[in-house]
Amino acid sequence: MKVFRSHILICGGTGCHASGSIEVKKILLAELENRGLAGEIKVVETGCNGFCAMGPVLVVYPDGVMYMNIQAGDIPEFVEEHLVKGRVLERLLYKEPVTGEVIPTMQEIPFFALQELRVLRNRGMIDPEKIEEYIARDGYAGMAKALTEMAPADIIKEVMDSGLRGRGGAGFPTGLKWRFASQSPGDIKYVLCNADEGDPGAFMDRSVLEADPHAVLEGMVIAAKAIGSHQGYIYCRAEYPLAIHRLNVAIAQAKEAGLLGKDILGTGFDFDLEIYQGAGAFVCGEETALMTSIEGKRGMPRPRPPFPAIAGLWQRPSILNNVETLANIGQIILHGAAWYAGVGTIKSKGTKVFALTGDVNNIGLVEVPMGTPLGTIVYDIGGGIAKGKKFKAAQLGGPSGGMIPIQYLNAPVDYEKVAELGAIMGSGGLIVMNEDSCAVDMARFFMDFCKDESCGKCTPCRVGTQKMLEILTNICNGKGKEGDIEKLEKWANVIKNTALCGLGQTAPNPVLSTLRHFRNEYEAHIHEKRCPAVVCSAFFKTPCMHACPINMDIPSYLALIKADRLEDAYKVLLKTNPFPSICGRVCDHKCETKCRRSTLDESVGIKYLKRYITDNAARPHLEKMPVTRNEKIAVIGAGPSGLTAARDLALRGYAVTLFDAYAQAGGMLRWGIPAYRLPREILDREIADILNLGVEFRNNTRVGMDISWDAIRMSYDAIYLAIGAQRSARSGVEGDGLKGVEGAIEFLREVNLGRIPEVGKRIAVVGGGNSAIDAARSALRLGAETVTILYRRQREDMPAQDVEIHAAQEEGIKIEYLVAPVRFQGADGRLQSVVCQRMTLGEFDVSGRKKPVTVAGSEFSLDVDQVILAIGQEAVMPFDAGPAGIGVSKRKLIEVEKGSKTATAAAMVFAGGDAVTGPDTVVGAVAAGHHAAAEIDAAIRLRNGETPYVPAEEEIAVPMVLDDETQEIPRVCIPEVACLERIKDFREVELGLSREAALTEASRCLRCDIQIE
Amino acid sequence: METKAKKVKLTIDGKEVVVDDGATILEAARQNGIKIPTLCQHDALSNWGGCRMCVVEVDGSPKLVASCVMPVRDGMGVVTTNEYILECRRTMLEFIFAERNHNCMFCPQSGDCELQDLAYELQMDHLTVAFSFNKFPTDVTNEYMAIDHNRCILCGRCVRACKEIVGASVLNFQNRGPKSLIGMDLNQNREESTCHNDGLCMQVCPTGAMVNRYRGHYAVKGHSKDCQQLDTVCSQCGLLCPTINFVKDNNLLNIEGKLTGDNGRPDRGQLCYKGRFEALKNTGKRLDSPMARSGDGTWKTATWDEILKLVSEKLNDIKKKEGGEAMFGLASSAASNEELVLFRDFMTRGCSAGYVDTFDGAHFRTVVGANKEGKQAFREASWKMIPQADMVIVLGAAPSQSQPMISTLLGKGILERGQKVAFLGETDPIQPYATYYIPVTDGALPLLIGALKAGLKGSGDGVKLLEKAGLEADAVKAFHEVVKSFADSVNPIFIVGEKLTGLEDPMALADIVSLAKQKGLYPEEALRLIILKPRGNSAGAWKLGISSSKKVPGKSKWKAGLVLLGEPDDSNLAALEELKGVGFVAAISPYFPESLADKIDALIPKPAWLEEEGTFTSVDGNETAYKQKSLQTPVGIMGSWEIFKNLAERVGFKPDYQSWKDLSQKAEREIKNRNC
Repeated sequence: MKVFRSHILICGGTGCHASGSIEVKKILLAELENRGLAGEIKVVETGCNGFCAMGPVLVVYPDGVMYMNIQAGDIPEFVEEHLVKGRVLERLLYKEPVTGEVIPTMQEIPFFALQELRVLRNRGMIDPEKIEEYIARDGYAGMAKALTEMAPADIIKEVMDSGLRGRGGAGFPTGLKWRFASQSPGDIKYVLCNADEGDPGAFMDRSVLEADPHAVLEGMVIAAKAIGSHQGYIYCRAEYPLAIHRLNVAIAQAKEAGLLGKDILGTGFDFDLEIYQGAGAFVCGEETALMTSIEGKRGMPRPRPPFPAIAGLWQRPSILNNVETLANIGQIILHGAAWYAGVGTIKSKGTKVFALTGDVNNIGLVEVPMGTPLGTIVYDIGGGIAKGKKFKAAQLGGPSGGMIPIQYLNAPVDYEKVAELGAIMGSGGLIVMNEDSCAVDMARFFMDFCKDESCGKCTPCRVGTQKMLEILTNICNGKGKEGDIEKLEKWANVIKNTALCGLGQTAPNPVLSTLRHFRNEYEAHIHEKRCPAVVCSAFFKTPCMHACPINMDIPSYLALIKADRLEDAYKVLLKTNPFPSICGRVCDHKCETKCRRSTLDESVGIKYLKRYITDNAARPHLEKMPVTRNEKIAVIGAGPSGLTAARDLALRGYAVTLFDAYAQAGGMLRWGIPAYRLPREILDREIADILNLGVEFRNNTRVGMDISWDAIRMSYDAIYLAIGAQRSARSGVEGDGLKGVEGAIEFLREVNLGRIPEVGKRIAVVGGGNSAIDAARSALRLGAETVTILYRRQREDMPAQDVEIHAAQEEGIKIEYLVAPVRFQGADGRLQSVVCQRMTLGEFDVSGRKKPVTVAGSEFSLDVDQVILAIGQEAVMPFDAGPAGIGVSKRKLIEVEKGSKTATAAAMVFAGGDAVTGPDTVVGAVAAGHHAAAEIDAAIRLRNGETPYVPAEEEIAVPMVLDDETQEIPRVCIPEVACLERIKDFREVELGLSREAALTEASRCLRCDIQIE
Repeated sequence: METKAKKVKLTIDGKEVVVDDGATILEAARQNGIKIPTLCQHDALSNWGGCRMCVVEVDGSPKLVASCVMPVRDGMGVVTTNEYILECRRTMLEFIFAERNHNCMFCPQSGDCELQDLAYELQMDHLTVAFSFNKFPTDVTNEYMAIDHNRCILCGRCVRACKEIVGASVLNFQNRGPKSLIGMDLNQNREESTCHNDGLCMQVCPTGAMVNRYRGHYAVKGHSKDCQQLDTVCSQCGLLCPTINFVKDNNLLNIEGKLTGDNGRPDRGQLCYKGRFEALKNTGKRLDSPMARSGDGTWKTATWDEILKLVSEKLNDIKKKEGGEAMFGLASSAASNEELVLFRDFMTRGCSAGYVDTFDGAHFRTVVGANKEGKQAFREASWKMIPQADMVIVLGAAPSQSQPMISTLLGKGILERGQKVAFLGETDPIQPYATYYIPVTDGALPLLIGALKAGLKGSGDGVKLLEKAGLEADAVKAFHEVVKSFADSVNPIFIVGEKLTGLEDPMALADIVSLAKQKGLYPEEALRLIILKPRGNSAGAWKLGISSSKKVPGKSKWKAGLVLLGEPDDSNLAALEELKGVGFVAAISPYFPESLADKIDALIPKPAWLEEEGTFTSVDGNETAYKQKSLQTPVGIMGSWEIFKNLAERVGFKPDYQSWKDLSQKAEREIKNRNC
C-alpha cells in the first residue's frame, strides 16, 4: 500500500460543492502535480464535514489543521505555506466569533469539540464512494454480527434495549416498530428508508447519505434480517442528486462485495434495495403517503389503522425508518445496547443530529447527546448569534415544529422536553432566530409552507391552514382584528384534533407555540398596530422610525441634511422630540439597530447626525403658548418625561404646573448624566424652551413634604406622575452601611449638583450598566487613582452602551469580569476593602444570559476606600399608594391600567417614565411623556364630550432623491477629545461631525421611506 | 361449513352494541340507528377519511378519529356527539363553505345537495370563517356534464368511483393545498379526456360540482327527495342495466345507476352515457294523435276509429285480394318482447303476412348461417363473463357505441388486471389502452379471421391473407402477437359485432364459432362468444322468431305492410328504404317519423319507451328483465295492448292470451326454449 506523508480531506458535500469545493479540489490537485507533491500528498473528497457555513473546508492530516472558506485562489499560498514550508496559514483558520481567537485544529474548535459523533462518525473522514474506507472503520461489522450470530429476536431485543427512537420526528421506539412488523404474518415484507427530508433548513439526511451511505445500507440489512424482509426501498427526494449518486455507488459496491443482494456474506440471507426518487412533496415524508408514492400513486396519506407494520407498502407488512435512525443501527449491534444507551436522557437515548441554521454564527451539522441544553447548541457549538444580536428563539422541528424562546436555553433537548415546550424534535432542523425575527411573521411563514404542502385530502389541513394563514397575513399587514387570536386558537385546536395525518395535525404548531411564548407580539400587532421586532413593513414607513419609541422621522431629517436644509431638519426633529440636542448625545439609538443599511455594511450614524443638526442649525424660535383651556394639570417630576408631557400639554393650551424637588429642572438628565456626555448649557437650553412656553415651574417643592398629595389632587384636574427612579438599590451584603459605600445615583447627583463629593483614591464600582460607567468615569475625573468596575458577568452581557465601556477602558478604568462583592470590610465604620469572589457562568437565565455562579474558595480582597453601587434603581413615592388608589408593584414601580399606557387606577392620575418601567432611556421617558399628554388630553375631552385633538403640523417638503448605486462605505466615526486630556475635567468628550462628514454619512441612508410605484 | 363472522362488542353513546369484527365505527353506529354526518363517505365506494365530518371521540385516543375509517375494537367506547365534536364538525363545515363558492341560491343542485343538507342539520346559519374568493375553472366542454370546481369540496367520491367502479381512473386529484383540484387525465378538459361519459362521478358527487346538462333545474322541476324513484332497467342496448328513474309530475328528471346492493353484475351499478343522458333528450316530434296521409301527400290528424278502420280495412283488403304473400311486417328490435309477440301474432296469424322480419334481420341470418355451418345450435356466453376472461378478441364491433358498458368493462380489465384485449376491424380500440389494435376494413375481416385460423393451426397460409387484407408491417407483427396470446390464453372470449354479423357470408362468423369451440365451452354448453346485436331487444326478437331467416323478397311483390317503430329513433334505418312505392304502409310509432313521411300512409301513435312496461332479453339472450312504466302515456294515446287488440278484432283475429301478463309469460317461455 502506498504511504503518503499527508492526507488532505476536502469536503465534498452539497454545501461545499455549492461554495466551490469542486474547483478547489481541481486546483489543489493541479498545484500538487506542478510542484511534484502528488506522490507525497493524497487528496480525498469526503462527505459533508458539518461546518457548512465555513465551506469549502479542508483538513490536513496528520496534524488536523482545518482551513475554512478556502477558495481556488488561496491554493498556491496554502500549498507553499503549509505543505512546503510547514507553516500554518493563519488567515484561513477558524476564528472565534466573539473573542476573535484563532483556533488551528479541528478538535479544538468548539463547534467540533463539543459534539459526540455516532451517526456522523465517518463524516469528513472517509471517501463515501469507497466501500473499503467504510469497512476499514468497522463498517458492516454490525451487519456481519447480526447475520451470523444473532436471531431476528435478538436483533430486535438489542435495538429495543438501546432505547433508540425514530429520528424522523415522532420518536416511536424503533425496536418496537420492528417487533410489530416481525410478528405480522406474511412472506413478503418491506424495509423502507425515509430520505425525503422536506423541512426547510434541514439537511441531516442528505449529509449522512452523502458522507456515509453504507451506514444506511448496513442498517437496512440488519432491519431486514430482524423482520424477515428481502426487499427494501430508499425513498429519497430527487433534489438530492449527490446523495442519490453516492447511494447508487454504495449499493453497487455492496452488491459487488456480497454485502447486499443474494446470499449476503454467505449466510443465505437475501436482501435487495432500490432507490425510489420522490418529487419533493413535503407530505411524502409521512409514512403512508410515502408508501402510496412508492406504489406509483399520488402521494396522499391513508388512514391508520391499518398500520404499516400490518399493511404497509402494497398492503404488506413494512417498516419505515429515517436515515439517521438506520445509520445508528450498525453501531448499536456492534457495540451493544448498553453502549448506545450510555449517553442521552432517561427516555431519549443516544445522540441527535441537528441542522443548525438561521441567525447563528456556526451554521452546520451538529451531533450532540440527547439532552444537551439548547443554549449549549446555540452558543457553545453554534458560536452564538451573528452580528452581536440577541437570541430570540429556536424553531425546532421544521414548519410543523415550534419555537423555543430565550428563557428555555437551559432546556435539555430531548423528545419529552421539546414536546413539553410546544415544539417537536422533528427530523432535527434547528433554526435560530435573533431579535430581528417577528414571531407572527415566522408563524405566517411556516403556515404558508404547510398550506402549500397540504395534499388537499382532508378538510382541516387543506382549508384550515389557508384560513389560519389568511388571519396571520392580515395581522402582519396591520389588518388584525379583535378576536383573531381566539379564532387562531380555536382553529389550531380543531385542526390538530381532526386532521388525517401528521402534516395537518402539526401544522398549527408554529402558531400555537408563538401564541404561547410571544402572545404579546400578536397583541402588539393587533391592538397597537406595531411590530415589536420591526419586521412587518405594513406598520411602518421605515424600520428606524418604527424602532424609535417616539417615531422620529429619521429619513426626512437625514434627507434634509443631505439637501443642506438644516433649519427644516431641526423643525422635523422638534415635531416629535423636545430634546434633540440631548438625544443627539445620549440616546441609545434603537433606530440604528434596525437600520437596513446594516445588512449591507454598517448602520447609519443617526445619533451623530441628529446632533449635527442641533449643533449647526439655528434654533427655531418658540413663542409662549396662551392658555386656552380651563383645566389645570400638575406634572410631578421635571425629568425628560415630565418636561415632555408639560410641553405637549402647554402646546394644547392647558395651564401646566411642573413640580420638582430640586432647584433646577432636568431630572436624571441633569443629576444622572455627567457633563462630559451632556454639557449643561445644552441641557439648560432645551429645558428653557419648554419652560418658556408658559409652564409654571415650582422648584424645590417635594410633593408629599413641601406640598401634600391631597392638596395637589384638589387643585388640579389631572396629575402626571413622572417621578423617576431616584434611589440606588442597595447591595444587601455585609458592610453595606459602611461610610464609603454609596449608591451611584446619589454619587452622580452630588457630582452634578456641583457639590464635589469626597472621592477616594481607590474606587470600586459595582455593576455593568450605564450608571456604573458614568460613576466610574466621573470618579476618575474627580481625581481617583484607580477605578475598578466589578461585574459579575462577561463583557458581552454588560447592559451599558458599548462605546461607553470602550471609552471607560480607554480612560484607564479597569473592569473585572465575573466578580461579585461578598462583603465590605472596614474599620471605625469606614470602608477599607471589599472582599469579592470569582464567578463562573452556569445555566442561562430568562434574559438568555448565562447566570453567574460563585466559585467556591475564590474569595479575594481588594483594598478600596470607596465603593459605588450601580446595581439598580428604585422609585420613591410621594404618596401613600393605598389611600391614593394607585397600584405599586413588588418592584416598587407604579402600575398602569391594562389597555392604557399611562393611566393609573386612580381617576385622572397618570404615570410614566422610569417610575413605571424601571430605569429606562431618555427617549423612553420622552415617549412616556407624549403618551401621558395625549391620554390626559383625551380623558379631559372625553369627559367634556369634545372631539379628539389632532395636532396641526407644519408641512416640510422632503427631497425624494435616490442614489442610483449604493457602494459600501464605512460608518462615520465621531471625533473625540484625546484621552489624557479629557479625564482632567468634565468637558464634553465627543465632538460634533464636520459638514463634510455629516453629508457623507447622511448619504448612506438607503431612504427606505421612498416608495417606488 | 359456514364460518360465522367474529363479533365485537363496543359502547356507542352509552349504548352497548354488537357488530361484525372489521366493521367501522360509522357502520356500527348506523346499524344501531345512530346517525353520524358524513360527506366523503359513500356506501358504494371505499372509505376515504378525507372530509373529517364524521369525527368521534374514542376512549384513549388523544385526538378525534374519523369514524368512517376507524375499525371497531372489542371494548371500545365511542362518543358520537358532544359540544366539542359538534364544534369541530361545524368548523369543518364552515371551512368547506368558505373555501369555494357555495352560494346555494345559485346552484343547480340546490335542494339536492348533501353539503346543503348538512348545513341545515348542523344549524350553520352564518359563517364565522371569511370566504376565500378563489376562482376555479368550470368545464362545460362536454355535452353531458358540466364541472364547476368552485362547488367542489374535494371529497374524492368521483375519483374513487371512477377508479373503483368504472375502473377508468380518468379523474384524480391534482395540485396541492388550496390549489387542489379534481383533474381529468393530465389536466385535460372532460371532452378531450379519456372519459367514457358514464356519469358515475356526477351521480356520487354530493354537491353541484358535477351536474347533468340534460336534467331540468331541480329548483324548477323538483328535488330528488320529492320524486317518485322507480326501480327499473334500461332497455337501450341489451345489457339491461338497473336504473332508478326519478319522476315528478310525469316528468323524468333524472336517471341514476343502482349502486346499492350486490346484483352480481360486473358493472356494479354504472350506467353508460346512453342510459344516463341520451334517454333524457327529446327524441323527436311526439305523435299525439293518429294521422293519415291524404291524396295530396299532406298529413292530417284522424280519429282512432278512422285510423284503425283505415289500417284494418286496407290490410284485410290486400289479404283478400292479393293474399298474405303480398303483405309484410317489419318490427324494431327495440320493442319489448310483449310488443313483438303482439306484432308477430297479428301479422302472421291475423294477416297471414308472407314476410315478417325485424330491421336487424340481416344480422340474424348471418348468425343463423354460421350456426348451420357448425351443424349445431349454439348458446352465447353471458356478457358478465367478460371480466373473467384473460384474453378478449373484439371483432368488427364498436362497443363504445353499441354497448358502451362493455367498452368500460374492457377498459377496466386492461387497466386493473392487464386483461389482453385485441381489437380487430374498424372499431373503437379504446385507445390508448387496447393491447392490440389491427384496423382493417369490414370487407377484410374474413381475411383476418382466416389468418387467425391459419395462424393457430401453425400454417403459414395466414401471411398471404394478411397481405391481402393490406396490413402494414407493424400490424402484421401485432397480429402474430394476437395469435400467440390467444393460443396461450386459458379463458379467452370473442366479442363480435355488427360489422361481422353484417357480412352476408356467414363463413367468417362460422370460423370464429369453431375457434371459440376449440378453447372449450362454458357451463350450459355456452360458447366463448358474445354477439353484440344492433338493438336493445335484438336477442328477444331473434329468439321469438320474428327476424326472418329468409332473405327479404323483392319489394315489387308487396302491396301492403305494417311497421312497428321503436325508440330510440329507428326511422332512418336502411331497411326501411324498401318501403317506398309499396301500396299501403302503416306505422305504429311514438314519434312522427320524418324520414318515412313520404313512404307511409297511416300513423298510429304508441307509448314512448318509458311509458310502457315490458320485458326485454339481454344481448346474449341469457336473461330477461322487466322494465316498469316510468311515465304516464299522454291522454289520447293507446297502449300497445289496446292497439293490437283493436286491430286484431277488426281483422277478425283472436289471440290466445287474455292479458299483458299472459303475454309476458308466453314470450318468456318461447325465449327460454330457443337458441339462436
